[in-house]
Amino acid sequence: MNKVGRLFRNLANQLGVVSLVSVIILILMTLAGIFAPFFVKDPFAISGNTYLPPTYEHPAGTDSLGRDVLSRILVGTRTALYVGLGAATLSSLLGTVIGGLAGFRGGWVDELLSRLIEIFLVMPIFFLLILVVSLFGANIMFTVIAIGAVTWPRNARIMRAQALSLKETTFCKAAVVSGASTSRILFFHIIPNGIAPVIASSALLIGSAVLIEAGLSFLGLGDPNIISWGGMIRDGRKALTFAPWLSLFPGLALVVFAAAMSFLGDRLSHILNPELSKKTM
Amino acid sequence: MIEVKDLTMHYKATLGWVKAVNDVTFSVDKHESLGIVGESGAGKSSVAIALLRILPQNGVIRQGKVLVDGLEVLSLPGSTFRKEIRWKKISMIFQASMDALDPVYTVGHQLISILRLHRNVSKKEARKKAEAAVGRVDLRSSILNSYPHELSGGMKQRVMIALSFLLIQPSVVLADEPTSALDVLVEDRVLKQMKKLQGESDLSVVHISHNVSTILTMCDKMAVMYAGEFVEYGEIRTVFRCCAHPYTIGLLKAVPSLRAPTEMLVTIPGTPPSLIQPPVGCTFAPRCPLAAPICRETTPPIVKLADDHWVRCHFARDIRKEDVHFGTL
Repeated sequence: MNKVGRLFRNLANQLGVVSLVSVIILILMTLAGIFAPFFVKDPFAISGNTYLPPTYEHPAGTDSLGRDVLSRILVGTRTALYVGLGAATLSSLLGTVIGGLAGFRGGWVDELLSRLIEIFLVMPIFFLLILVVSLFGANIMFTVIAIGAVTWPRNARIMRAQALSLKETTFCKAAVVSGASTSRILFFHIIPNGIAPVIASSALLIGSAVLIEAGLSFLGLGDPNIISWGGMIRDGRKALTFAPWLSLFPGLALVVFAAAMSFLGDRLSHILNPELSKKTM
Repeated sequence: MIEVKDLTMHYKATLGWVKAVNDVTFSVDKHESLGIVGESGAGKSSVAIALLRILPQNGVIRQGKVLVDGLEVLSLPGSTFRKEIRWKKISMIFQASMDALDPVYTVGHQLISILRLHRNVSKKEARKKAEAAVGRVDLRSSILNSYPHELSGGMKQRVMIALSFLLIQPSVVLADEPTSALDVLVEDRVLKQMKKLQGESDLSVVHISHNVSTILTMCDKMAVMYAGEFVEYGEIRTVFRCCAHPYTIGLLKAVPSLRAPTEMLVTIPGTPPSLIQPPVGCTFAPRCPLAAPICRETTPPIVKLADDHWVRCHFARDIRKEDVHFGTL
């Protein structure tokens, strides 16, 4: 017990209480999302008990078709994780490679890639997503790809700046002198050394990707075959006056998830950046 | 062994060409070591950069030949040079060598990956070789599992020495002020270790330093560099006793001696000239106490004073140490 207590205190010191709580919430939500199919009621099962207020049987009530809202929220976690992690991974991969290449190679490569980054940076995200949805249909995979494809420039800019300063370090010069190839220096020296802020920014991106997807679903542009928090909020809109729990609970889940992700991302950027953490200590 | 002939390297700057290295010629045999001394901005590090072809984008090698073990390497295609020459034939110890280890990998990982980059050996063999190499510089093999930040500056420097001298056993090691970031005690230890290894292997060492006494203790030959060119070159004792370039004399007089009678240390007034528009004639003339009109008009010839000693000065044959007077502190 004592050991567990000490572990907790160490973690709390490292992370701060808020982010520790965020981490715990995120872990619980992830577990709930992964194991949801094994313990929740069938989220698609329709029953005659429509618009039931929260009861022991249905802790978050039922919706217009008599489906259990809590089950739907838990299964919706999977969508949130899929969208968040998928988009953030795609965005950081693209951003790291393109930004790293631009900063490391410099010259015309940098000019070209920087302009590309700027072009993507000025694109209005939401309108591009609406365009993608109307072109390819409301498919969750396209949504993830589209979110990744419009958010990578931020990561690319961070990585480019990192590469610009890292390539002047002695260990990168030493790598050149020891006969390492350009790609080896980029992938084994520059990127591992400069990835920390990209990770932090990607953690923040997970939260915003989930919000973007929820926004799309709220507008009715989400994948109709998939349960998503945004879609649930939209469905509950019509019943807001007499069954507010239909929108309230998915909205709460969304806020908690996005807030926990932001707190964690913010803390991560402090932990991974020793200069910042020194100031806050 | 390494032979360098008429190496000239310039940097392009907004104001014109910076003539950083001009007609540098030297050769270092197996087991031999050459020390290049000069003040900051004299072009010492540029020589090393040119030899390894790690020029910045604005650097251009204008002319010259570099022969490593008889093979001309400056004209080799880039990829061949990278695979066959870098570290295999010419390795380098950096000015701030402790930063030459990548902070995200263990020391062992870095040694092993360099070894495996150049030699076709298994991971196990590579690890054994890496252990042997750090053992030779008196480090425990357990440091291979450490990250660079867990080691002290001196230990990191010794890792770098193991890395450059022992791991691949190159023909030439360029040591660019390897001890400038260390305190004197650690410096002494590191230098002794380098000297020991230098004696034990078939290496040629080019030692670059602004510290004349380091060069005097470490090297067999010495070159004095000023404004991008060698102004005096020769066997170390000959240069020390019979130095004939006023700049060398000034440098040597600026070093305190333990045994000689107490004397005021001298300073050479002024600063090195602009390398974009070097002075006409002798580059040192503006600061030289013996400068005559001829020095400001014609470039001094190379005057051979002995088989292994030459000086770039109009009055090389007439100058004696005692006649050169600089200001004192």
